[in-house]
Amino acid sequence: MEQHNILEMRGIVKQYPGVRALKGVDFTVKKGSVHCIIGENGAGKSTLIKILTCAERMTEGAIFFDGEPYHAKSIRDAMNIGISTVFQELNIVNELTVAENLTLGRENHKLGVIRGRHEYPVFQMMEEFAEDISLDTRVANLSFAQKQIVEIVRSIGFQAKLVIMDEPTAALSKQESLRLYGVVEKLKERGISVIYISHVLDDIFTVGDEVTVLRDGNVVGTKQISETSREELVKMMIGKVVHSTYQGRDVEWDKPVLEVKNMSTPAVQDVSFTLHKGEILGFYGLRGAGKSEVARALYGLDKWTSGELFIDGERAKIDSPGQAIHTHGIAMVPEERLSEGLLMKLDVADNITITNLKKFVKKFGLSEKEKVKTAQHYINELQIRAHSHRQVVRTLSGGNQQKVVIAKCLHSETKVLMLDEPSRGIDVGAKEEIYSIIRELASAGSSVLVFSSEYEEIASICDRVVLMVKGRMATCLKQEELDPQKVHIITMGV
Amino acid sequence: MKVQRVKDKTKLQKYMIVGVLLVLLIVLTILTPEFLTYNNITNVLRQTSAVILAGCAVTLLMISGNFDLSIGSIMAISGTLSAIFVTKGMPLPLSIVASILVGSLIGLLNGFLVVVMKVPSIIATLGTMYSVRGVAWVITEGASIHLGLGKNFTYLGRGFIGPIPLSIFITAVVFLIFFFIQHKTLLGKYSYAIGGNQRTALLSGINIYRVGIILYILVGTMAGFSGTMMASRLGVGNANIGQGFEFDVVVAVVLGGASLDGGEGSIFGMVIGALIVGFIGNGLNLMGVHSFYQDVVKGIVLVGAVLLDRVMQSRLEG
Repeated sequence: MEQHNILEMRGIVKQYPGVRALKGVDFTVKKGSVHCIIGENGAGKSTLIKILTCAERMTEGAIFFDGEPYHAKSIRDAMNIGISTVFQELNIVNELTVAENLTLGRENHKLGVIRGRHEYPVFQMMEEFAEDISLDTRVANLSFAQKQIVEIVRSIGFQAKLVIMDEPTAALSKQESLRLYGVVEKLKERGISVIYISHVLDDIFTVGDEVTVLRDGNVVGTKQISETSREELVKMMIGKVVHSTYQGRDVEWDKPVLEVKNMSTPAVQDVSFTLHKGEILGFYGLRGAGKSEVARALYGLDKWTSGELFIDGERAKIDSPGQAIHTHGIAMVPEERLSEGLLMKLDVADNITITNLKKFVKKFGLSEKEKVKTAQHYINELQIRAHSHRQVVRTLSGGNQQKVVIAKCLHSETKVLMLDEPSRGIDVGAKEEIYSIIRELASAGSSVLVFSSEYEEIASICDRVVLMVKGRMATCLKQEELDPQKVHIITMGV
Repeated sequence: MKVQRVKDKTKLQKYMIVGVLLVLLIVLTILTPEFLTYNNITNVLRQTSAVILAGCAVTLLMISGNFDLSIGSIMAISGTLSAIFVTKGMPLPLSIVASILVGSLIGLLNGFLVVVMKVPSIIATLGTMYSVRGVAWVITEGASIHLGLGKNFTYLGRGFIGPIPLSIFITAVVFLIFFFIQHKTLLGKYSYAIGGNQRTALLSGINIYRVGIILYILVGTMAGFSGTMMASRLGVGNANIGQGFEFDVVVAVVLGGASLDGGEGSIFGMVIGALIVGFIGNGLNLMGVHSFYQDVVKGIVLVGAVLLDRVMQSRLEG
């Protein structure tokens, strides 16, 4: 193995049940370089990192780190060998001071008693990286960007030779991003290599030396940053234009169902759109662009700071999910199915009927019979593969769980159905089924809002698409105006 | 295949606890001749009725993922108040209703603290546990109230309907009502939903705050009822009533299949759990084992049952 590579991954394959997430990836990081990875959602970026940090095991392949075969079994092992990861969710203890965090797990002690103030080399580094962060500050008092820097410095304290950063600027302001670029630059000066995962092309062209593009579990190519252009990268990411499976539908354009005018919440600014009867309206943007936040505001979970809402032409207000469902007929299929959409310990029938259980209250209490009849109807309608309505949802496959969540929303007799990342984590076959369910719903007269960060998804099902960038609406495109190149250039801020 | 197993597990758990009760009854019948007599059995049932009365509401509360430590103290204040009201000349039925309502009010306070103010349920109800019993001591000035109660005062706890003690009859009716609530009402289903996943419940449009408060009020009410009944059975109003009682209830509810994380449990299981604890105590008494040992056994039974459940669960799933 050549000594100037810090990391070599060869022929990495990751097989999940039903999905091959990585199909033989070769990936090499040069010593002291900043290597960016980009790709659409589901391209395999996070799987690759999970394998490197031992959160997942690879099915096939070999990894060499610093010239040696790499056999870490846990993230702790990986750190000891020299690979540190800065996740979006920071691993830092809010209640301790900066100094305590920096030395956590490696305190100078005798029989468990920490010896008095000790000068650790990492303290000096902290000063070099960020003069404004005092060692005695409690971490809870720092901003997210400052915490991130503390975490990065801590990883150097662990003798990291390679630092992995997962979308580090996703939660940062412009100013803070600039500062982070400086931090990455300093890491490089110390000969530490960086794997930098980002959607933001600005990041990549500022800090990167090389960039590898992933698509569908394959490496499309690796380029020197100096020898490539933004347009070329976008082209590599989206690949050949997939023929969209969009089927035209009759939208009743003269019947607005939901009108939002100049809506602002703490997370989004000035969003306006109209949803018509029978229309599927998409919201597309990068992670953190404010899609989910629009959904939350319409579901009564986030407070509106300004703006107006009209439902069927009348002024309306939504303060709670209960009100959204029962008063206005708006239901939501949340992004996090497991933690927000389903009651894992209960069976299929219970889950489907929970939003509208009142319907089954008869003179002698809840009518089990009616409930089961309704559940059975949806199980047939959506072809939910369960061996009976009594099957506990925890034991269903991802696609079938998603169908249960949709059935639940349908059962609450919705006028407007919102779906947040409707096909995340489900396999290709189930995806198509979910799409046809959504299309049928719209054809039957419901209106649908789809929030997605998968271009193919919105291109396949939406009649119109709102593009979101940094909490604002960039534009609203009709189906026939959709063009992958154009859409990516707008949303990635080229 | 795996699906089938998971389903079997819940059934098995239900049958197992009934099996344990039956084995216990058979063993006690063989070991002690005095056990299987009408007097002895009704006596045990009467003692357990206090646990079951409060336990019915507590089961629903614990299914919803919350907890209440103040049950014993609510029993004390409702019990003493029912006696005080009578000595002050209030008609007996009215005094019973009024003292139960005081229990409901304390339940409302608990619900407000936990559900609205978001104080962790253990802390909030630990607070009311101390304060409420303190108030009971204050209003009785530390004394037992037994003078001027009249003969009817003990009817609720000691009376009979035909051959059946009134308290057992009432407990059976309460059990049926709560069994109905668990299986056939929105409140029952919503308790499972909230305990299973509070976020999902909220996003499904369930008013989780209202349900949470109603459950605390129910617990307060039933604890109050249990307290007045106990005062009546003992024939005194004493601030000492129900000391440590909250744990007896929790033991029964947990033996009945509830988990502290919520989402699981059943009224039926709780009743069986309460009976198991009651009969073990009674059996040990009859065999002449000192009451100190009974607490030891109670502790072992509780942890043993949960351990057994864990072991079986990991076997069935692994």
